Amino acid sequence: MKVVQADKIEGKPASFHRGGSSVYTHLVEGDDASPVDNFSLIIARTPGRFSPRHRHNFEQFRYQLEGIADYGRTGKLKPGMIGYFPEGVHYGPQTQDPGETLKMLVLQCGGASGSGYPGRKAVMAAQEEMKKYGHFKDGVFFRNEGVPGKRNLDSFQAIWEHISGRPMVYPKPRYDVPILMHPDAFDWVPVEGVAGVCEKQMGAFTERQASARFLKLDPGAVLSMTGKRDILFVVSGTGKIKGGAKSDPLRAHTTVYLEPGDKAVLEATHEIEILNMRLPDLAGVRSWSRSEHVEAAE
Amino acid sequence: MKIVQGDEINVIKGVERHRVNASDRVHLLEGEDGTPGNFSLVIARPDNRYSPRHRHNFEQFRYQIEGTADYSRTGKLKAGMIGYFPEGVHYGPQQKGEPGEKLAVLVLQCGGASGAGYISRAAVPAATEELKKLGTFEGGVFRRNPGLPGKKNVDGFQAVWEHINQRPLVYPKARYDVPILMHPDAFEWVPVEGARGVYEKVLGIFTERRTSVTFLKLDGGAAYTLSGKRDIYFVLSGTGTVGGEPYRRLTTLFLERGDIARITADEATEILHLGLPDLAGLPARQDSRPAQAEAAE
Repeated sequence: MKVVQADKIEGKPASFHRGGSSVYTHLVEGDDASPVDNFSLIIARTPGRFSPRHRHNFEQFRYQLEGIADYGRTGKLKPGMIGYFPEGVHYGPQTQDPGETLKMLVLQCGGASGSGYPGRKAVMAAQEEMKKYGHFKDGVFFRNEGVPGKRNLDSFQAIWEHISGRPMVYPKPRYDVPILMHPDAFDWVPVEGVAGVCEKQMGAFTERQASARFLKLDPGAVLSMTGKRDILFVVSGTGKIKGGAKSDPLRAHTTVYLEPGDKAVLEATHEIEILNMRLPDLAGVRSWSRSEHVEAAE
Repeated sequence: MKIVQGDEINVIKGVERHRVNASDRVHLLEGEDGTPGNFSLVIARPDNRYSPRHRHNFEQFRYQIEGTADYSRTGKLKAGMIGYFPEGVHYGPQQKGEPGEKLAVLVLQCGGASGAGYISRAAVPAATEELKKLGTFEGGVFRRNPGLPGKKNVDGFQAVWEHINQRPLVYPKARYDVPILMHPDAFEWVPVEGARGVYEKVLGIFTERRTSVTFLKLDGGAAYTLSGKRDIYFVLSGTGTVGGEPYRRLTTLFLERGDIARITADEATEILHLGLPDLAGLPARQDSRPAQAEAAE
């Protein structure tokens, strides 16, 4: 079990492959050595951001904390809304009003296709290397003249191909469009056998069942959980979480990551609301190995 | 538990009512009228049918068996695709098919998480005929005669609902922005733990009441125990036995809460599994209960 207090983590400048000057608070990350099920959870503050219409070979949940993220024809995420952005599905373009700062919780993770997710360090290193033969502008990588390869490419795709040493093949879309959800339209459902605890399931997606739900604990309520690659993000309220001999306070934006089998007990002091995102169950999905593609390039 | 053989049920010829043109229908299953969990499962064969952009206070799955259903900006359901149409979410307009194109769609309509319930199809014809004394249906819209109280132009189905229930239809607040159209062929089969030769692909689970859609595959000779929580199983291909009865393409099984059925595949089998929402503990909304009985007393 890992517990981080977001209010104690300093934000860092984001990668520059998208436009704007975002600051990221890195909450939890997966294991770069296991790219298939690697992931990244951040709070992104974007004072000014543009991202062209694009798609990824990983999946995402985006929970809007402040401001309105305008994804063009994909729709808008207003504060309190959450969106599921599937692998291989176009979204955007993303724009925002000048002077408005957005704040959102972003989970990006390897999905059902097995394409995996490159770690942050690999992305930052790749960007530096790629400056030798091109430049990034407004979310597009522009290759220098005379350099082999596609002249203009979505910046993340260019980074991925640089890291992997092979062309990116986007997964066939499972869904036509991203799925934007209004949690305030869902009703709380009591959790059976657990006094004072309610949930609202937003949805579970793909055959690997990446999912999101909200949990609410009344003051004094106690909830025992066994992890299956779960992220718990405290939206509001206070309490504590115990895992083994360790106990940590829960407050707004406390983030917990439960590996499979991790046991934790949550207790609310004041009413507490938590966003629980479960990463896809990728057991048995063929491992994508960077080394395979290094060999292919030799 | 209920088993029906879809190929033995008489086709009911479509009659134009609240939409433009009509669909021939095979009525496979129905729920219990007057309850929040009422539902209808049909195979519809639309004939040059047009439906304006509209929404409902119930949820739907539409599995495209044949042809392409064009829902305009909502998207297209091509053969093999399935769409989840949530309560309160606009979709369409549905365009007429290409000339000569045959369309066939499996349609599940059911009361959803809002508790608004579902009006049985049997109630619609009588209500439509009564409404024709008060106005006309044109292009899927009910146009009330001048001088009559009520909104002048109303979605055809909404008008029917309000006539039956004698109160304005209040649409549930949309939980999702748009209908969710899915490509089952893009999903991968996942072995079912402990069941040799059985695979599934969960396409999605929706709302806090967990309406779900899954495909199930059995190799020839494989066996599996199905357990019910209000589940529909629709055979797409293959043969075998289920619950002691033979199954084949279009066999449809409904399992109530607690029902169990053993399925054994003689040959490779593929099944569409629709999980109705778990509405346990959800009271019927006041505006979903028909007021007719009280009004008639």
